[in-house]
Amino acid sequence: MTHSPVAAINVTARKWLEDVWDTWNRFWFTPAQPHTIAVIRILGGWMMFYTHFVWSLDLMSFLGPHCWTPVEMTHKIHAQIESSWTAWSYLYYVQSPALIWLLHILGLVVFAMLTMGLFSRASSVLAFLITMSYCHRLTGSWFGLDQVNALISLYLMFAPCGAVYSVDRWLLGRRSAKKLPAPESSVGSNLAMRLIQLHLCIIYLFGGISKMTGDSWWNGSAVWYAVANLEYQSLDMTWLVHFPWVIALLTHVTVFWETFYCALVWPRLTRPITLILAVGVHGGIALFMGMITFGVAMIIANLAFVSPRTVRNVVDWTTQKVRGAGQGSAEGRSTSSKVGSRQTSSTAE
Amino acid sequence: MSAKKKLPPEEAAPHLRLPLKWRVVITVFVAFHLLAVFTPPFSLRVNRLGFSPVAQTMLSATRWYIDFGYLNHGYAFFAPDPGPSHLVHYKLEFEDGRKPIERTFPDLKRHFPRLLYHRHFMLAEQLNDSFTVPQPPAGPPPRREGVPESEWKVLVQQWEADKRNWKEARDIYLARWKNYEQHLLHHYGASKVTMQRIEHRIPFLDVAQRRGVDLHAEDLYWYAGRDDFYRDPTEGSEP
Repeated sequence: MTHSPVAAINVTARKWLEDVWDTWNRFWFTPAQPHTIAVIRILGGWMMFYTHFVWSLDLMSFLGPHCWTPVEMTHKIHAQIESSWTAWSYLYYVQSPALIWLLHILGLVVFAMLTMGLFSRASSVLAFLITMSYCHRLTGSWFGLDQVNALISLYLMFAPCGAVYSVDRWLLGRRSAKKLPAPESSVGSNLAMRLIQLHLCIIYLFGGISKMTGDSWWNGSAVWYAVANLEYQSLDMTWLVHFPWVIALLTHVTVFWETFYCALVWPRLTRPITLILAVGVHGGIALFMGMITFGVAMIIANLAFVSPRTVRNVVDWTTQKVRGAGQGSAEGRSTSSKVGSRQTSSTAE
Repeated sequence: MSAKKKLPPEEAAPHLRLPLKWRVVITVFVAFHLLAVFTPPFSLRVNRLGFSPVAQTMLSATRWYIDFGYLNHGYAFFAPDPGPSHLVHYKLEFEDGRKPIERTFPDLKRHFPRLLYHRHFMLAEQLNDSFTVPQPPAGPPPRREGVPESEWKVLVQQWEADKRNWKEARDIYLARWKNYEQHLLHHYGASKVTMQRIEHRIPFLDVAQRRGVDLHAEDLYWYAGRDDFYRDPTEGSEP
């Protein structure tokens, strides 16, 4: 029996659509272990804590009644870029220095709770709202770090980020009579990791495309203009001027890596190279260009591409090493203290 | 062809255990969210050279969500080209007999840790970014012979829109400038402040190769007003 071409196309199209739906389901809804997202919670939460702690060093200059960018100015800037009312911040409504300090300290407490994994669900939602409020209010002094903090705080809300490596887990263990089973895989963990992954792909894609419109990224000199910028510089790399070939290579690798990250980070073969380059580029920004926080925050976000199993193995290995070292030194201490006490007693005798 | 049998959740493949209605709801959310993440850098890029109705539609559909999630970014880090950096020099004078203070921000010696320095750096950069020339756009365009009135009116409307945008941008710049002055006066208890923007340029690669690297060289610092920097000769005393 022969099928008409229309029927054949129908069958093929239907099969293709079923494949698409199945792939979509596998991509988004396959449950994942929470280890990766938990480590992102610890490191990202710490970064949020540190970022907001640094505001404390000159809080009134940035949020007080006579600050650099008062609330009215923030509203004007938002109006100019046509922001909607959802660019909301509770800091718009606070002028009293005492209240600003109180809210600020409460914010730091929330970030500390998120980092430790205490009441993780609630603290992740609160951390997101606080991060948004500071980002919207402090329009005059934001940069890439705030974007990455916002990204991480947003996606942590979707996952049971305190299911492991957290105070929540430790408390659960204390209350339970039996040994806790391994944490369950969940769609939420997978969803959060997938969203971070795709968000990073969009960031790098447009980062690469934007660079492609600049002459210096094509003629191979852009890295020179980055390292020779005195205000960014944290480690003098201007000796590279004698190695134009290296400058050009770094420039070209940066553009191509950034542009094609969104394709090369998915296949197993190219993923390690893509992530090593991410650590190289962001590590370079952190060490040489004075943006330690931004560089580290981007590396933390890139952890979303590391499988929970790998994260668990690395954490287990590190924990064992640390415990082993701790036990070793404790035994050493107890031996030496015994020797010491024997000497003391022998001296006393 | 036999119909597919619906399995109970615990027996289904792992990626199908979540009920279908939840998977559909999440799918709709994920699609909308990713559209909102994609739209700002996309619209910033395409609107650089013109106006794309597609980008505009995407932007208006997702705007509320973009702002809520702080997603309104172009991600153009060091692009299109890494450029010079900007500083603000200020001089404070006091009525109570204290000696005048002259400082610049950002300042590595005073702003520690590095993140606090970077916040001050961004204040200087954003003041410079918002700089708008003091002169409004020239116009209205003259009516040329042979050009139909309807076409000329379009040009006039365009000029009026440019003038409105210029005024809005100039007002923001002046307001930002005023805020910085007010902050410095209050912070130091001074009676007078004079601010000036500085552009710290980067030596060209070939020049640095020939002459050696001196990032502190005086000729790399361009002062607003003094060096015809962005054509604002009034700056130095007031914007």
